[in-house]
Amino acid sequence: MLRKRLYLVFVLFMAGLMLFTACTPKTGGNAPVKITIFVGFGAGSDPDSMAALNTIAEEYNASHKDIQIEFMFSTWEEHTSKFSTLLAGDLAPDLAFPIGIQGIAEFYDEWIDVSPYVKRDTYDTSDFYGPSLQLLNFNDKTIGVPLGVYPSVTFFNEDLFDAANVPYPPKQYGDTTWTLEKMIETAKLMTLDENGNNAASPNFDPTKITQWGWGGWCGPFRTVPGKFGGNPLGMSDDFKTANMNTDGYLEGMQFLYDSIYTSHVRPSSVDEGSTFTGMDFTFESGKVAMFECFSWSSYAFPNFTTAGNWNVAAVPAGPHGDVVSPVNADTFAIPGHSKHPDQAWEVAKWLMQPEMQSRLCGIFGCIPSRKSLASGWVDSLSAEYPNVDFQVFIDSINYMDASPNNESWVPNYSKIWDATENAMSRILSGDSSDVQQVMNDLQAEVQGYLVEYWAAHP
Amino acid sequence: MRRGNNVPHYAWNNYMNKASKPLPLRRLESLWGYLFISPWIIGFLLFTVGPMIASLVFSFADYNIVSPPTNFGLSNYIKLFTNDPDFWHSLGITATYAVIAIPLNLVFGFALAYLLNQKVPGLAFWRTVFYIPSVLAGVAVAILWGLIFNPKFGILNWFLGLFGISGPGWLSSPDWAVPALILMSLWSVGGGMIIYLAGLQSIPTTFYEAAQLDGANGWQQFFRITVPLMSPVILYNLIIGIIGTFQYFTEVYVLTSGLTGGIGGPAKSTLFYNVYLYSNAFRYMNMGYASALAWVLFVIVLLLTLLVLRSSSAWVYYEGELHNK
Repeated sequence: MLRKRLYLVFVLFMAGLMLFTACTPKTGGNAPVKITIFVGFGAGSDPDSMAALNTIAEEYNASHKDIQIEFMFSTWEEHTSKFSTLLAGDLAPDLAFPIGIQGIAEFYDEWIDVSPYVKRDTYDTSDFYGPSLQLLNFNDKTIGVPLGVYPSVTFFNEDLFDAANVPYPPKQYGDTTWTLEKMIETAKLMTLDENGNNAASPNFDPTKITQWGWGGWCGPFRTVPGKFGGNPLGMSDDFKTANMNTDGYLEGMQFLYDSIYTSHVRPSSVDEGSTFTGMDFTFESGKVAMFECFSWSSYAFPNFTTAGNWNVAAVPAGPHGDVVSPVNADTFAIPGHSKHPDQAWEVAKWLMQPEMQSRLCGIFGCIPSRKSLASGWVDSLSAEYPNVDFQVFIDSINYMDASPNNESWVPNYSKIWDATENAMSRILSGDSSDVQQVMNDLQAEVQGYLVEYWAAHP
Repeated sequence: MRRGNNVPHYAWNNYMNKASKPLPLRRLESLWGYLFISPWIIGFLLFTVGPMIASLVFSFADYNIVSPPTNFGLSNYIKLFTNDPDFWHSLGITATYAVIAIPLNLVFGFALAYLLNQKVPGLAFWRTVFYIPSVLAGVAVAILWGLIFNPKFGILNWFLGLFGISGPGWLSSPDWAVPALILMSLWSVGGGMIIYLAGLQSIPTTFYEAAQLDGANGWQQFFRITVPLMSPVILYNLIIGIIGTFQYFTEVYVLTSGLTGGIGGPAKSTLFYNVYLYSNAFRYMNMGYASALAWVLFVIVLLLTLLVLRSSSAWVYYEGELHNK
């Protein structure tokens, strides 16, 4: 009996202790405000970036008494569930950083408008690239100040081009001969079967391909229609009518299909799942002559180098003359649920200082959005990869799809995103050879999502 | 009652005990019992019953996690049954998987247990070998099978290649992704096997001895003695299998999240019910709709379980019942 009573006393004591500690305020009145920065909407969650960001936090905390910062990391795969759970649990972080256009769109209503802060502090934006500012100006608010942009360029393997004695793709924009049609022609010459025949040869065996001329676009499908004169949104300007089976979407999807199953210059997703296992980009294999990708692929540059000498060229013009370098961008966003938005803005300003911006872009692989920092970015990477002409990235900024962007908000954002990606996967995997039918299905699905959205948001 | 000299000591104690009305021993023990299990009860109420009730409420509302639930009504359930092709698609994939994977797992688990119930050298070793996979974490297993299914370098296509068969793309092929997952499900057959094994060992040998005296051959003994006496265990594994397959998620999530088309790809070929539920909850921020999906799943599993239990009177043999007849 004594033992039971002791147990009872112990249980009650522990319960009381837990209640007491749970109800005790964590900070005193003069304690510094802690700003939690959520990292997971894009770059920043790999081990190297996490270590670098934690170092930055230590530096900030050592030099600031009123505000302390702490990074909270999430993988990309878990970012929506983790972030929404934090919001639901009244544990909203104070900043989301870095965050791209997609992350902004996923939680569009959550972010506050920073334009009052910009106005109050007369924040100087004159040094920023115009399109990078344009990316963050939405109809009803401005979200963040641009940290950096990730324009797309054509990567090519010089060794493979040299071996095939095929001229390199042009580096300069404005070369009207560098079109998607020309790119496919070049890719045919670079695609080889196991007998060494290229895809332009009548003896070419498409079932025994050992080297592909083109690795495709590394971006989502919404990066494609802009190249074919279409609108990346894939719908009318009022977001009420889907336009998935017309214009750039249909033409772009047909181009994608033909590149795999007609000209055989691009591997299918089944080929990608087999030949290129363990690689983020097929280009890393040394078996792909060209592909188009964003500058955030910089983390894989060492693997590109292992695959051979590589360089970058301009993106080709589409069949209607559109030269579009799909772009991703990073900024910060302040959640509406943040308990310390003013302090969050101060931290964001500190992170956006030129020297810090340069340093952060060095971590994430972005081109700083400040024009004055561009040459430093080029010099820094050129020192590491002297063979590569990094100025092409800078030149691509003028051709980026700033507005609308390939990640711009649309109603029912993630559903439509998944729908377009699924449609692309039907083509890439060979699940369907009827492009028109795939796009008709997509059209019906997206239209359904638009109707659903507007029924809930009259 | 006053204690006088003529009142026995034990009688006085009994009187005093009754006067102070102490709790009966059984009730006292019950109270202690509840106290000791109270952490579990509190946890169960807070973290299981509470969320279940909350999800039931959310299932009748528009709820995006971030804002309070609104528009209470039946709209989620109406949409689910009348205007959501992905609901039926995901249910179809899950049902297809269940129809093939559950019988396969039952048969393979039983067969393995039967073999390991024989007197073979290294019996403990083999039992351990076949059981170990079932205790490994789902994520680790998924990653392992991702390598096995690799069309170019995976051991599966290498093995098929030995017979001149060119293996498919498995997970990257919409036609082969679900068959690949069914094949993978056999990996964890050891969990059922160990239960079958316990059942097999509880069958009295006297039944077999009597059958042998009556001239029954091996097959007859298997189908007339082993299977009937094992039928309650088969029933248990069947129900557990139904519940498990309808909650199938982790492996698909791990194996398909990196593919073109995202989770549930390629081309929605692995859009299992729970994958679709997860997407609604945490990608599309439709927690209300996801809750409705969860409750429909609960009802489906409940109905299937009841159906199986109902049918069990026709095919499950309980020794005790026979005695009562």
